[in-house]
Amino acid sequence: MDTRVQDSVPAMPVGGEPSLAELHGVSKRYGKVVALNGLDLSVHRGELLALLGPNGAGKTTAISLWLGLVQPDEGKVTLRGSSPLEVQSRRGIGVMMQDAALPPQLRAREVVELACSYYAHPLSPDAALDMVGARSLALRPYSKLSGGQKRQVQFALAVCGQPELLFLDEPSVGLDVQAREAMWRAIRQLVAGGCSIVLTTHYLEEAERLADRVAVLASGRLIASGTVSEIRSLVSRKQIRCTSEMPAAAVREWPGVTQASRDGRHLQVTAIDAENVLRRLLAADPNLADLEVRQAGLAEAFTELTKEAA
Amino acid sequence: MNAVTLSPLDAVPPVSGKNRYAMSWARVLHAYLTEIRMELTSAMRVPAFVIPIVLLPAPLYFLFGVIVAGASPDAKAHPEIANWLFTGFATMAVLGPALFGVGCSIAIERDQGLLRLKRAMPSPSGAYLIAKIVMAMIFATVAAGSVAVAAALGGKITLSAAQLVAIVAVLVAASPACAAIGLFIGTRFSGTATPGLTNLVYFPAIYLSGLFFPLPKALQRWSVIWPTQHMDRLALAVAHFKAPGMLDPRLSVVVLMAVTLVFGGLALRRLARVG
Repeated sequence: MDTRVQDSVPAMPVGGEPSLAELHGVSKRYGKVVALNGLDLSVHRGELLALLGPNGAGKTTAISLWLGLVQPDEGKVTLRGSSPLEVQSRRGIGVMMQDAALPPQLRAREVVELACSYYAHPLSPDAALDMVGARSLALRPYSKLSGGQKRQVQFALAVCGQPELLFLDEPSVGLDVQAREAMWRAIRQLVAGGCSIVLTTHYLEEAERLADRVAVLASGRLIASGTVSEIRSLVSRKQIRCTSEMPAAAVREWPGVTQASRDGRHLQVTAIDAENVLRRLLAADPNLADLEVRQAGLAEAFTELTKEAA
Repeated sequence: MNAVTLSPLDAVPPVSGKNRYAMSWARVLHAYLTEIRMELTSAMRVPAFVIPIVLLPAPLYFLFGVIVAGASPDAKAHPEIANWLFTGFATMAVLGPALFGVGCSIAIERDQGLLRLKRAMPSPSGAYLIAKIVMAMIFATVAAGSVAVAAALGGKITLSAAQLVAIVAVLVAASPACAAIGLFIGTRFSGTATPGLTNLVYFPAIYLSGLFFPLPKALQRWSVIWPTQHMDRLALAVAHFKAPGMLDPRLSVVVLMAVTLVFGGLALRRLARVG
């Protein structure tokens, strides 16, 4: 299987609107470590691009280049048509970084108010906190907030400038289920309003539910890019789930089976050659029931793609 | 999630295209002022900074500069010594906020990634540093002003109110030189190392620059390396205090400007390159 899929949409889409952010043949090294190796990647207007990859794949470096925090060793980086080092090009973006501590003595509302002052037409601080479901935190000192609440306030900072391009680096780490759902709703609302978003995440479910396009990085290279279903279709694995008495250990030895496990009465099998495995299962267990077969999810596709690239 | 209520500020950007994100001068000025206000608010909420750095110099001056030194026979024979002690303590009062207020906070915030976030966000160029320096100057005004009030109330000084105000103003105006040194340390060392290293500058800058007692000749020649010596010299010039071997105040102005430019420039270069 060829997983070396290039950025599937050209830098200048047919519609004529230029990309909001581009990396052209970008390489970046930190000492002997190659963080990015000739990467081409574009972010188009109104799309949510999920950047996926194992730790050290180059996701945060790619975002740091777009934000002007690091400079490429080779290649060209553009943000909203110009250099990310120009403050004017950054005025149309919002940022939520992985590990930024905000002034602990300020209240949440004050932190957002300060961020609002950086933009030409910001939301009011209360509206920004409302948007991310954190209005109740407005008067709390930032240092007294829980990890998840801090992430909510950081998200408010990212959206307060009504940006046309938003960089979210691992935004939902530490959020409880309710806060994560609220963040996802806000993200969908932003995309529906025409905002483009670059999202890095280790939660593949997050990418699966939100992304218009997924770019998979490994060892500083783009190894796959496309819609979630296109990425899933890149791998041939299928998930088989059924009620069966067959021992998982025995099934695991069959050709074409990559994984087999038991969950109570249910047998779960991941197979490359699903059709033949299914025939053999049906032949081996006449009492087999509740059969479900589905294509591998993004998680399985991601695992296989990055394993092959390693 | 709550419904989003839009205030007048939240109106959809009226200009379409790339220009809709362009900032007017009024908005840029608003950004600088907000940054300064938040920096002040933030610093005022840290008692561990406000009490020792801003509020302590006046009681220290009263104890050592008025009660202890005032009891000596020399003080009675030479009333101008009271003026000299006042300028020394006022210089010390200005040094603390400038050195610690700027350097330590920058080092800690660099460690925590706040500077990185500000570089990524469209924070106006220099707003962060200007806010720190203005905060330090405001706190320096409070600290030196408190010493001036204490001097006026019980310091047996022979200075007019206008001279007191002028001395505080001169010291605060010169304080960016100390802030630049704090900035230089804060941009090079971690938040853990910076307070200790800053103390290595703070104490010699007070005691080896001859602010409180005449230095032995061997140390006196080296006192010119400390900006506090030059700040004190300017304050003493306002007080019309004369002593043999004192530097020309114009030279002190040049030295303070050079210190500000060199250390400030090196720190800015470091911030731009490394963050």
